[in-house]
Amino acid sequence: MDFDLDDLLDTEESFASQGVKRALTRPSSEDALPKRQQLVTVDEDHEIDDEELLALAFSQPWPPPKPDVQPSSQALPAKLPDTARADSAEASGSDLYDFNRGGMAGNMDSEEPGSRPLATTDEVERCLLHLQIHHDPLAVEGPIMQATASDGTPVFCLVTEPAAPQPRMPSARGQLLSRPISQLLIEAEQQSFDKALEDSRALSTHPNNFQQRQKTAMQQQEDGQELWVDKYRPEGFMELLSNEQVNRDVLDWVKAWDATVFGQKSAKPVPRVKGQQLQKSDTEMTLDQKLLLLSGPPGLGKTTLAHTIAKHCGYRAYEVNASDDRTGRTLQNKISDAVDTQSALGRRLPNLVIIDEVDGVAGGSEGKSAVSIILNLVQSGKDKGGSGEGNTEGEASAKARKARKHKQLQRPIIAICNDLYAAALRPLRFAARSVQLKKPLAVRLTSRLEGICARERIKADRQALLVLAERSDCDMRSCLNTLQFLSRQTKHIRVAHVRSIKIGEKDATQSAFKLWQQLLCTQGKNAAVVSGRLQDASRLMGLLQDFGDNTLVLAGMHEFMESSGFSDISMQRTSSMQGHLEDADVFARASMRTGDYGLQKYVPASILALTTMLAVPHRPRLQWPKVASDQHRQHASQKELIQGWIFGLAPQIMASLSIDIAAQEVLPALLKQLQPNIRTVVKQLLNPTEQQLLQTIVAMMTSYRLNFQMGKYGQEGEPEDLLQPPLHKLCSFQGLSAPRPLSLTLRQMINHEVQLEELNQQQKQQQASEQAKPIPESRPSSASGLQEAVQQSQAAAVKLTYSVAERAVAAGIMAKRTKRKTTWLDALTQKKTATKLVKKAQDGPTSGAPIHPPMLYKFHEGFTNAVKRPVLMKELM
Amino acid sequence: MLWVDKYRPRRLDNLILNKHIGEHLSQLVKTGDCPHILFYGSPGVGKKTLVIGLLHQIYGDGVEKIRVETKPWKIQLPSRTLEVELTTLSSNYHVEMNPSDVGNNDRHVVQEIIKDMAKSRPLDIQGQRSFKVLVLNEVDRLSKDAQHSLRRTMEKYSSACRLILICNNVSKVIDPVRSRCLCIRVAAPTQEAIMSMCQHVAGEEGLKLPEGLNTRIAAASDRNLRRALLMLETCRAAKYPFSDDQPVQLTDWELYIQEIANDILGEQSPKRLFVVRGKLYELLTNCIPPELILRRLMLELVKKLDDELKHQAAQLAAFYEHRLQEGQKHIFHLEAFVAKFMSEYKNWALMAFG
Repeated sequence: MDFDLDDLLDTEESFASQGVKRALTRPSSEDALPKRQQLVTVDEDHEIDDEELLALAFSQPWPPPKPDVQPSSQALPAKLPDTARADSAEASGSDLYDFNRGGMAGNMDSEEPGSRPLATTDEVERCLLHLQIHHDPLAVEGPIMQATASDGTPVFCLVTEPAAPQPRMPSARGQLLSRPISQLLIEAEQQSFDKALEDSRALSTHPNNFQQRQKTAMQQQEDGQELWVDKYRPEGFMELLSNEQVNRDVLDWVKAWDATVFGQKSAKPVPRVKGQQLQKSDTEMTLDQKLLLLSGPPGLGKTTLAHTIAKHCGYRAYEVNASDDRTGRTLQNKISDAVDTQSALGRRLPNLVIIDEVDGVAGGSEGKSAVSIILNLVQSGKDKGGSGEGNTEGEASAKARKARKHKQLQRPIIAICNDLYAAALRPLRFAARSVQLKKPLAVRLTSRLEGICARERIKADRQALLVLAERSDCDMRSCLNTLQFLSRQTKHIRVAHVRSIKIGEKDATQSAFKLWQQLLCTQGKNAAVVSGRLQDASRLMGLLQDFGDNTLVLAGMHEFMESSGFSDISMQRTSSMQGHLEDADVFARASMRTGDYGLQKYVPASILALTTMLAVPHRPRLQWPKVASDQHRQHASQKELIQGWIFGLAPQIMASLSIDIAAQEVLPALLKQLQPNIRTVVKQLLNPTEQQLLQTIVAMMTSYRLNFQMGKYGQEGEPEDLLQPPLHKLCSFQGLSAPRPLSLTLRQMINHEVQLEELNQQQKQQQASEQAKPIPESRPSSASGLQEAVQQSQAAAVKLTYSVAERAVAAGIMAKRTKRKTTWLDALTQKKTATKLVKKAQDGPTSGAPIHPPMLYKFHEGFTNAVKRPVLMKELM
Repeated sequence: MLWVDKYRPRRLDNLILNKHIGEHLSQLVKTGDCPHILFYGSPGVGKKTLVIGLLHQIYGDGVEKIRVETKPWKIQLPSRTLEVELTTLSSNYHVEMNPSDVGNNDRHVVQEIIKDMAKSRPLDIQGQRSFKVLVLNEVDRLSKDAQHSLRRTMEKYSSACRLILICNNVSKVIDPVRSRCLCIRVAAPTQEAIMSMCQHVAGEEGLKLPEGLNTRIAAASDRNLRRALLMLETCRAAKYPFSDDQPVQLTDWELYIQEIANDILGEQSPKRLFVVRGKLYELLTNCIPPELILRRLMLELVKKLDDELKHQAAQLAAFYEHRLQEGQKHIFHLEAFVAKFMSEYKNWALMAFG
């Protein structure tokens, strides 16, 4: 044996010593007969203790894996000489308990060789007593105690104080045991080895180990009370019926946890072989997906697989299934308990959490929270990434204990579900490694069934079993149940039996695709011609009723109509198909509205009527119906968009808007307003009409809280104004010529103006609230308002910027409402009046202003689109 | 601001359209009290404006200080707790809301929230009115259950609260509710009224509106003042110095429906039907109600149909609108209408032209 016993002794929790101690104390606590001496024969218990001891001492998966199937390298050392070891194990095994066998050997020969009496009293616990057992009390010298042997005869024990304990070895615990722990451990090791040898021998003599075990099982359970499903549940990795590859996937995943789960233990001074190996190989392997999602139709053995693998890898399976309360909070408590703690009995096997029927958990009203809790658990600490592993292990564990909430998931979680694509599981699907269980081959299942039949002494035709397997869709559970049922009727199962009963057949809720296939394909209906259309129709009706989700079926049909590409010259057929669709919808709605679900039964009838018209001879090309749901989602988001926009508006405007009005009337008009006919030039070069348009747009956009969005523009030829909020989407229809979007510069300019305007308004509001005086009733138009604001801010400044003058021009021209199309030169000629206006405007707030503000005219060559002609300065001034 | 909002009268006295109703209303509240009132009429006729004016008439300027609140409500039902978010517009004197926004849960909203609001009496600070006003929009969209729960609320808390209900379609409001209200029909303005309103607004804006354009705007507006004013403003943005023959721009969705109508009349085949289906989906996505689509589509079709077929088209539209109300998947019914129409049209075409 290549691990160091002394080191093991030094470790604080020496499992072995605990185990031995427990073996001693257990009977007294269980029997609750403290004052009476009683001889208890321990048969099963004793063996278990032995096994536990060994399992702990080795701290390796239990049951001891069969040497030939063990995938990992840590199989039992098989190199020791067999016989010598076995002998010594036998000897030491009896030595181990010789203190309680004492002189009994002679008296209790009649008992079974395997049973070992174990005497316990309170005294035994306090100090070890040496008992000598006699049948004749007179023959004993010294204090005696009466006790009853297991066969009922009274026996008498001589009570002697043990001789002063002579520590044979300088060990702290030597006094509690009659033999030093090191010796015990060696013996234990030998025992386990012995047992492993025995096992392997048994395996070699009975190649079909499964059948052998079934035989013993059958012997024990002759009456057959147990359900076969439980009785023949596979117990080892190799007995699993599911696909080998799938099994291995799951196994690999669980094994990948070893570094996290067992790796920390190796931080202790004991250099454990296994831990060490795993550390080397697996620490680097980061577990991307901390959750395993096992999915597959019922009865394939998903739960069994999870349990078996947990056991195989040395975990204790902690199962949370639908029978437990699984609301979000309790689930969290349960899982975090299971993940964070270990069993109190000597923290031996770490937990592996199995969440059975997750899709069920998700279905409830609390489902969402439950799923999100699982998700949180799985993803917690992911951001920290390797920090936990990067530190020295001791530190990490200390930290982990402190920051309990944020630490990484330390234990594997396996979630089991039937439908991987259940909507509620979507979030989990991305975070989890998902393994799908496929149906086992019918032949494989059949051979297993044959084995079971043989064990149960039932004759069964192979063909019958094959039929059974196929009818139940390779659902092992239902196969076994049916088989058990049949076995009560007859001792020879034939095909006819299987066919005659309805039980093996599941109430087949098929997938939607299969249903559509059946409905829409006339191919396999030659049989229907034979058996009659009526029967075929009633079969389809049954299918529809079983399926239940009429809305989905309808949606599928509706979209299939489009892709089927049938031709219909008079449109009669199409229109009557549409009529059936309508009928189905009306019935569905009526039953929903009135709460009279009896009406639901008419929906399949309409679907059936539609089916007869729509069915195609070839295999239909089906797609999952998503157009309708897409549309629904988009509609909802558009609605949200409008609603959000409306709620952001000023209350006065908001009061007059509703979603419908906004979508139908206001928004189209509003968006058309934002398509001004303005040239893309610098603002100063705009002509008065354009200036005015600009002002209107800016005012509009401010009051309706709109903004142009900068950034990507017109990608993939998509005409977009990139409004913010993107209300333009509401008025864009595919195929309808959309207006040309504004140029980027223009949008920039407008945005800038809008921001200015907003700032101004804020300022104004502030001023209004500061001075606590009402805003003047006749609000100046936005153009002059801006000017006013500018003037206020620059009250002292004498210089008038060009833009102010320009604005004034615009204002002036607006007042005049010139109809003539103006150019910038015309604008310049207007300057004369403009400057006067400006002067007037300026005279108001700033009384001492210079009469002739300095004015700069600068011509940028290449920036003008006008014809140059000589102008006298006089004209301009 | 859009002209629609800019020139919306805020007082009953300033009304131009519905002036007579305004006068009646101000007479009504002169005594200091008012009954529950139900305004009904098609969209864009000025119901909301009347309500704003009425509120001002009752409470004065204070009612114009409106705040928007979005409040989550928790309603304890026997089996579960319902969480509803409802946005209300409220001043010190009134609360305005749209209970049909919450969809299927509107009954609980009416039962709990409205009752809750109706119960609490306004604080009588300066000898103000002893009641407050609850304005409920789109009452016709409320489910029957909700309307039934409304009727008791209306009686029980009438001492502290008056309801002003607004709806488009009075026949969708149950009789008991109607009988508890003063029902005021706000009629759609005539074309002339719309023309004069447009002229008025143009005058305010200092624009010169040619008669021809005005007539066409009024005709295209479907006797909907809001539509008319928005059209006018769109025309203004498109081209200012108005010309008499300037086209009146329709909204995009209307153009789209025109396109659908052309598609239908152009070819009748399943293939075309599925093209139309895509377009109908698009319209539905962009929040155009299916009833409106059907109506509009029928009108567009009828424009180009032979007289023989016109009544048939109208009948079909009516039938399918009824089905639309009964069903839940709008697209099925719209599509059924199109299919049926295509079939009829094709039939007729074959008969007529061989």
